[in-house]
Amino acid sequence: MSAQANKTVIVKPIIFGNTSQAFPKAREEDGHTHAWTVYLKSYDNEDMSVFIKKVQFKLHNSYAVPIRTITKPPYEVRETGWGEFDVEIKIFFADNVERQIQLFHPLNFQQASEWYDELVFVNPSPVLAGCLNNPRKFKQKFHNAHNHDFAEREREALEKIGAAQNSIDKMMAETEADIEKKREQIRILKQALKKSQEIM
Amino acid sequence: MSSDAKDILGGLVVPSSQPKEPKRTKKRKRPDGMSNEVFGLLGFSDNDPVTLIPTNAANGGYKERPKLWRKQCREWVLKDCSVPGRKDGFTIKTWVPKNSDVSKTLPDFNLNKITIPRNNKISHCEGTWTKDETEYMLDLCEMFDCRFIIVADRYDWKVDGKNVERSVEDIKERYYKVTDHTITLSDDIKRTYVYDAEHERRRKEQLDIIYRRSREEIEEQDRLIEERKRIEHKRKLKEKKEADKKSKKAAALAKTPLGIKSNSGRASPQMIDESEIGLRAPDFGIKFPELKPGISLRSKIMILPASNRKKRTDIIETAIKGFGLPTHPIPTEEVTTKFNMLRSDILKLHDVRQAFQHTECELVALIKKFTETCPGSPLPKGVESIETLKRSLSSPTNPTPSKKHKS
Repeated sequence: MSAQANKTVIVKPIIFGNTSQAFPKAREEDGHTHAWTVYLKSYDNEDMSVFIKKVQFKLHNSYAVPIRTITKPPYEVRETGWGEFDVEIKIFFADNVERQIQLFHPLNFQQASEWYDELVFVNPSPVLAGCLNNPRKFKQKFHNAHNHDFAEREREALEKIGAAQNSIDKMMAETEADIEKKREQIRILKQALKKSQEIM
Repeated sequence: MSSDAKDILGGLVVPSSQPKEPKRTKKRKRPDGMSNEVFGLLGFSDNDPVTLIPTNAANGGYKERPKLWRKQCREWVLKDCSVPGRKDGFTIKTWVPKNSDVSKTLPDFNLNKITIPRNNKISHCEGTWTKDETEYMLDLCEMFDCRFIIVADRYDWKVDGKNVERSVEDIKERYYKVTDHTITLSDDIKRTYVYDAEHERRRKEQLDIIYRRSREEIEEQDRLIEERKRIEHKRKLKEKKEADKKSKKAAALAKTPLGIKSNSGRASPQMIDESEIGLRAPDFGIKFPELKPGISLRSKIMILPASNRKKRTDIIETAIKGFGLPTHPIPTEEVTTKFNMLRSDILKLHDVRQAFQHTECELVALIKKFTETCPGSPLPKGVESIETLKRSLSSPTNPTPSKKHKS
């Protein structure tokens, strides 16, 4: 933590997930039952193409072209299918020197499933830092609204964690006090034993 | 074969079942483009094969050959042409078709000069760069179309009679600093080009070093790399062994009930101070991965390190579930740090509780010993009776805090 002082840390919150729509009945030619869209977008309506070179979606191998590369927003793949599987999302950044990031999203046909995560850039290369420090927002609402209220989720999680931490701290203090008491008793007993041995 | 086909086709095949008389007049003609020899091989007899596929009768059933070779070749001439970018009467020789307009055939000789817009950044001096030198550098860049290697080669700038040494990287760095250099990638995406001179310099240095190695040096280095890999592998194995030993020791330390030991009369190999367990327990916990330089995902920091044993991860999981928390909460910075601390504390609490149980066991053992050695005498003041202790032992405190947490 102390080393954090001379680090430059840039955080870009992202959202990824999928939406889906069931066909009224399975398509005859290939048995597909759902139309789905898997996507990656910025949490705060930022134009991520400034620092992202491309995004690769790796679908199930049974698709004719399983790897879909998208170079500009919206980063999404629309497809149809009959089963759920894990989509591998790979993010390539503007500077080739930097490693790419891998995400996994399990497709969900039951409900729109969305994940929040943060890209944390620690001491990015000068080229990437140049891109990151000139953020650009989309003028109008570029993406659909998020399916979940993530701010609310964070608040909820913090609340629960705080409560849990409190009770843990309390129990910790209690147990430690108990141990102290028992130790004191052991000490007294040992002394008494010693004394009795001396007498004998 | 052909007769079979005829049998099958029967009456369908009309022409061949014609009387002989007209056949003689209709002598087969050699089609154009077919050599005599090939035609002779065909050997037409009375039983002509029946063609079922309609043919293009115009050319004897053969495709027309392209008649390229019958055309005359274009004539080409070697001509002097002037270059649009040069005004000094410089000409180059090139082959052009005869009777064609020379100026039209040379669209590729676009050696027009580029112009570099001069803005007010030029006067902004930086390091040893002065405005005049910058102007001179930009002039050179214009002259050589930004071929920086040539610019660096022809660079001849004197300050106080001394030549100024500028490398390609120096020139490039200055150039990109003073010119607004944005690259238009697509309709609306523009990127400012950032020239990382330091990186370039290091890159070239490395290249230079690698390039100048002799064969012996290359072999030596390969050998060294192999050696290093081996040593590192050895060291890792050793470290793993030591870590295993340590964790085993710690586990053993936490597990040995002290009371039983003193009772059995067997001298313990190491005298363990009873306070040690209590002091040691709070150090347990989890070491979560820290932020590494580069790009990472926040949620990765929340993943429990693999070194944790299954039992301990289970303890955390049940506790987390007991608190009604998801195993993967939303990974913002605050949540992540707090969540990690919480899980670490859960483990600590677990260890402290175990230590508590051990001290309790020890106490019970001591009380028993006391009653044995001095039967009849009452327990010293401040010591609980064995009955109350037994009661608390028979209802052991649950190591998972989930059950206790009801307040």
